[in-house]
Amino acid sequence: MFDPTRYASRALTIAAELVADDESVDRLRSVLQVIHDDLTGNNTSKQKQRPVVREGQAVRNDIFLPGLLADDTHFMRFVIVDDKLGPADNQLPLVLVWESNHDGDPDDYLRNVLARASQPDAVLDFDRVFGACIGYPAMASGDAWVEWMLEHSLRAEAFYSGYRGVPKTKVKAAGRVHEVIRTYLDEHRLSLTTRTPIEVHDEIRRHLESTPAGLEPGDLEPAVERGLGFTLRKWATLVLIGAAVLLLALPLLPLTLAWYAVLRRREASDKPDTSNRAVHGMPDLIAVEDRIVQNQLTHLVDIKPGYFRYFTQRVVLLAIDQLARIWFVHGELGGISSIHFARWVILHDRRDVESKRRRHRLIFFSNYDFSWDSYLGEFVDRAAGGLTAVWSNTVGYPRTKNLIHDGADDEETFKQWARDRQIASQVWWSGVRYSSVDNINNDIAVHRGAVRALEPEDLPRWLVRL
Amino acid sequence: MSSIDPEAVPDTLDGADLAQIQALLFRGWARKFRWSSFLFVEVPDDPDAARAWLRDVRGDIAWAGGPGPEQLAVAGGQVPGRLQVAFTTKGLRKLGLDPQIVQRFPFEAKAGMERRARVLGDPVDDQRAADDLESLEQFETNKPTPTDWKDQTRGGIDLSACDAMLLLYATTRKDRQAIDLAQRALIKRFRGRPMASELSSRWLEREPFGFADGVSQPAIKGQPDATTVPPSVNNTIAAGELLLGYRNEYGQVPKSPQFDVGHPKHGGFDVGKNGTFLVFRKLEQDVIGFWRTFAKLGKRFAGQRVAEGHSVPTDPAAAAHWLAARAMGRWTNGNSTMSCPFAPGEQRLPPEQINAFTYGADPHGLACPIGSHVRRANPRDQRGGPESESWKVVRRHRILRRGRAYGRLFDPDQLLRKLLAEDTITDDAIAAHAAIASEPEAGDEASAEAGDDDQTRSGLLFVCLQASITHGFEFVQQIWNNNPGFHGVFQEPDLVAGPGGSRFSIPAEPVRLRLDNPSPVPAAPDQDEDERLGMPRFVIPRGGGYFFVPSRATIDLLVDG
Ligand code: HEM
Repeated sequence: MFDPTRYASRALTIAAELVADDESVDRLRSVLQVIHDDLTGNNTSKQKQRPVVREGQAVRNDIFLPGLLADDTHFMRFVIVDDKLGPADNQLPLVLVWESNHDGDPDDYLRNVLARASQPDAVLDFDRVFGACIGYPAMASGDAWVEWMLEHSLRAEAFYSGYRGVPKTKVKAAGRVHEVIRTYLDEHRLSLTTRTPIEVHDEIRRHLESTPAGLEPGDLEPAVERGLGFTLRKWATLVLIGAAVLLLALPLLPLTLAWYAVLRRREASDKPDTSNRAVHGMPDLIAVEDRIVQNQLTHLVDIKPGYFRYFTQRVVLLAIDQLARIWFVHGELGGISSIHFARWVILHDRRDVESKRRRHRLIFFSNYDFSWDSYLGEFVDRAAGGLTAVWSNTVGYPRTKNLIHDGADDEETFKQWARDRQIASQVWWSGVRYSSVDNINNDIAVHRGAVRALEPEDLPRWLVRL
Repeated sequence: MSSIDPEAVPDTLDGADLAQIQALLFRGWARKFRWSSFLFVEVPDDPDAARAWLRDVRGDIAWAGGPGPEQLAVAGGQVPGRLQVAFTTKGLRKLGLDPQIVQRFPFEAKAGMERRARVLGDPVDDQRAADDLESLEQFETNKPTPTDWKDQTRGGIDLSACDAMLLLYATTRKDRQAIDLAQRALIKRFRGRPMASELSSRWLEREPFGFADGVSQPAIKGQPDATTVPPSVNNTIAAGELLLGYRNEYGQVPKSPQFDVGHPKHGGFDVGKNGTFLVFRKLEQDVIGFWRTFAKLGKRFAGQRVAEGHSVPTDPAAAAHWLAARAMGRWTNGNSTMSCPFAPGEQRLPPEQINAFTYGADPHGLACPIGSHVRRANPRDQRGGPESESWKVVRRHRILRRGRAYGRLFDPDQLLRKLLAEDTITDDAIAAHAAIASEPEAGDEASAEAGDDDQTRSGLLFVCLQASITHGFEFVQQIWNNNPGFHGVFQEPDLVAGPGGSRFSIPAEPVRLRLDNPSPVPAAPDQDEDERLGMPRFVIPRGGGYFFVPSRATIDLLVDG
């Protein structure tokens, strides 16, 4: 059954190998640096390229302004995935990743990007960014570009969104509606204090319908709510899982026990990172943090070698992905309400080498609210088990028990492990610079309640949101 | 290190050797020693001289469980008082602590307050931050960067070169001066340099805006005389939250700078154990601006309905108090707006009641706004999720506050009377009428001549203690107090101590009130309306630093090598 909320706030991850040529990689780095400087307003880069002055605005370099994607992009970043922690005798090639949190079908989305990039005066030069990748066709090649991008897109093993199913246009509309209501309340509070909640709600509705300043056409249509399609899918999934467990539990019991026995043996013999420093700062990462409400994390780690861990890793991620689709759809992931978008992607090692030299890597992208310390702290405080289940299959993770125990409970060691494997995101862009996940979900609820009649018992709950 | 079994390390002070711990952890001496001076020094460059200086200071340090009231604080003197000592990592290094061990201190302690500007909301010098990137690994440069906020002509102090902080407490202003002068003379004698003495005013257990302070503090498991802490729900926290060397609320033993087991002389010695970290921050308060703003808002909102059968008081002064209490979360008398939602109550609640409340009954902040200073700084059972989870999280971010007020003090009621009577009265005229003259004391003449405490400004000499500055002070400041999105509020940081520039919502029925600046500056062409109508800033940081408060054994190690 058609569920429109499936087509909003989705994950696109495009990853392509860079040509093995230091010069072109350096060039790419400086291009990304310039884009970063443009975005943060720190236009101090020494290599100003094609500087453009727009009426009264800061000097920008005409390369890439993600703001032009603002209608259907929530967050995006470019990351050069290097291999600094990898063994010197078994290095993996550099990969450029574009992480986009977007609306619509990936194919349509990319075509929109292409259309926008080809408008005169557009500043979306993917060619300067991806040009350093092997086999990249220029944007001018049209369909071939879209095809190449899709060919290089990687499936997210697990993807979570703090407002799953809500397209960017509706996030913005909800914000505008809420702001209009705020202003209205500031101006009319005195006269409203003598009214009943129903009357207050009516007044607000009437005001919104009077085309007040600050609204745009279509703003009075809130995001579609999850409908029957979602509910059916949710229960179908649950029933399916339930049935599978019932049917397979007995036949698979010996296998499960064997798996568990292997797990416990591995857990005893794996070597966690040890260090006796207190959580270390990583100056270059810290320097770009804490500028807006959100921060970002790109985290790269080798999955422990061998099929056992690889298999366990995928099962855990599959479970998280399913939960994120059907269960954690109300703005929190296992008690954490500060994640806008997060995804886990496996970078498979496709090299033609003997299997024991093969290194599959797990890369995690997160767009979260507030500081690194509070985010990682929330993981430890509220979701240590899930967290440990995911990363206990990766190299250096603090010692675990039964897949989900210990691990992240050791807060300092866990944070050190996480910081050590964080890699720099050369370009990162947020389309909701001022709003936390809680703010956005509150706006969405305000929006939905503002344009329809509410039951008397729902009114107080709606009014305190304003 | 990783071989420590946390379960084997206690999370309580039961059975701990208290004489290892500086007494400030258990005592604020709020009544016993109402006068204080925080003396910041550069220790001599010559490590031998530095150690000799510390040897002389050592005898005067007050230890918990140590000698009682007869203990004297002045080097070789006869004046009753207390002395505590804390060091920057740079100071520790100058005192000859093995640089490798100094390197094992937490990175924020090494970086210092200045380089944590973005976390703390202080002015960031991006260029400097960029220049520092290379050298940040060493975390130590002596180049002072005088920025406006540390401008001395504005009462600012620059502690980037500071090595040590002496906290001096006395019963009278005269004694305080004697102790301060003696310690200044002592450091000079060893060719060190006294940088600044931050002198408190007489501590009346009120911060300069006039609100009772020092009400809510965490208690430590196994703490001696725990009865000195006003009881509250779930208020006792693991010793490892406030001291190194104990298990904390994560069930872990925080990493602590210590010597390798194989070290020939100090093998395995834990430099951190029984020590803690101290944050000092000089916070200037615009007391007149604060009450002037609330007087105007009081007039505007007086009589407005806020709940079934309740309104903001119609008397403007009472309305000003009502609104200010919503911003603070407590009334000036210290009572919580949870216990006394609509009026301050006849008198201050007794100690066993004043802090014994939770926010569970008020999830939307109708009694105590979610964005109020006190609810932000300790959200108790309402930090999200089930109550038990909220407590778990909150207990990992408690701090022990030991601040003192400085400068001119006012009685808020007198201030309000003046402000409401005369719309155009100047700050100076008000100050002349409404400042509380502290009772004259014997010896005041002498101290006046020595350039005593600042009588043109007021503020808080904020001090807090915690085992981890990132979990404690920095977290509370960045994630709770100054966070414009704290717990779902939108673009509203702490109004009391935060950066200003935003409006402030007070939940009410049928709809919230929202405070904006009653005297907005005229609109500038490219100015955002929100910014223009944002509330003023009432607290301006004027400098500060991060320090380590060592144990007796660590002081001995520093002195005796
Ligand atoms: C000049 C600035 C400040 C003023 C005027 C101020 C004022 C107050 C007042 C009146 C109280 C209530 C009394 C009490 O519970 O003891 C309080 C509580 C508190 N403040 Fe502040 N404060 C300031 C700055 C700060 C800063 C910078 C922090 C930390 C980053 C902080 C953290 C706290 C904490 C943790 C509490 C106790 C909350 C509780 O346990 O219920 N304050 N403050």
